[in-house]
Amino acid sequence: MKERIKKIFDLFITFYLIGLITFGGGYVMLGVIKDEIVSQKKWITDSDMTELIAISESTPGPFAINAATFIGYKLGGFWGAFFAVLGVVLPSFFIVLLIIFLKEIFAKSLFIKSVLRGMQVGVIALIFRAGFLVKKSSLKIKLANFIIFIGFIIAAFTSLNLIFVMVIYLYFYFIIRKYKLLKC
Amino acid sequence: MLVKALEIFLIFFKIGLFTFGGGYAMMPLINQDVVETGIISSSDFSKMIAISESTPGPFAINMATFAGFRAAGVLGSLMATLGVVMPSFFIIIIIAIVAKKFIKEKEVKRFFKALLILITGFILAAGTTALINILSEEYNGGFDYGALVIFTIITCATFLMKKPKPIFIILMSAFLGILVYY
Repeated sequence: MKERIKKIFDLFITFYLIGLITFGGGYVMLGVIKDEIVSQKKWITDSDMTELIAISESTPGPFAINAATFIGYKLGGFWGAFFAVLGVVLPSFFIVLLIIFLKEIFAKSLFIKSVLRGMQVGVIALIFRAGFLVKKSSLKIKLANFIIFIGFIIAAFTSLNLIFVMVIYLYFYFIIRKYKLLKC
Repeated sequence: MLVKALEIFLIFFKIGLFTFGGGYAMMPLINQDVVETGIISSSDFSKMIAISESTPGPFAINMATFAGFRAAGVLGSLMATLGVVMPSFFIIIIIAIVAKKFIKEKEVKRFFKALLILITGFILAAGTTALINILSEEYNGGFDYGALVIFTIITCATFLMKKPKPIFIILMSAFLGILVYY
């Protein structure tokens, strides 16, 4: 019992530190986890890691949360997963709140405003880059560019609910694939 | 306040449930459910993205904390974060127990890879909308040429670098911001 509590505590601390040092979204944490958890702590194996990535591809949510849940569960059941996720989320949570409060104080500063506006603009390049990264992991089919175009039009010019659109899309894809209507 | 907090919990629960393709894929959904509904302004939204990229931790969590705060204070940030995390958490646990084989099946993966194509379109739309919004924002009473310059430089830099590190891009934009606006 004490062993388990110690393990869960260890999970919390490890993921807390991982959350603290990982800048940038998504799969950046993959590298950190590979180093810390697979190589160093040997909590999971390389093939576990591959399994995690495969599962992550078809599940919603940030990779960080999926990873913390998966590894936490493997090591310490439900509470292992719970405290791993708590660990990875807390640094984010506190730092963002801190920044919000500091922002209130520094809001009038022209320096801060300049920095922020510069970042606001620069970040847009990152958004486009994210788009290209997602495209890289997407299915390579002939109609891909057309679908991207449709997605673009729908998101930019209509007020259709995107989740609704995703569901309809998956439904059509299912039908088309099931009845082999198109090659995809 | 309590109602708003519950509202933001449900909004981010929904977002957490349907975000495929990583943290950035959350942006079009946040845009639709939080910005277009007026909970936060478009300008605040791009500030949030900028700050979320520069602070440690998962991008998605940073965004949720931020948006949640804007919607309903500290309780809101707590509820939004909780909301965005829960679907993931429970789905992974359920899969770990009963559906591992299913979710790793080639055909299932293919489905989600197909979804990513559509999501690419969504993300590009979010980026384009953000770009248009920030460029049409009057800065000191006129068109913000500075923003155009910064964007061009950053875009070139991003495409010229082999492995562009986001934090570097952010620092560069911050620096350019100082040059242009300070």
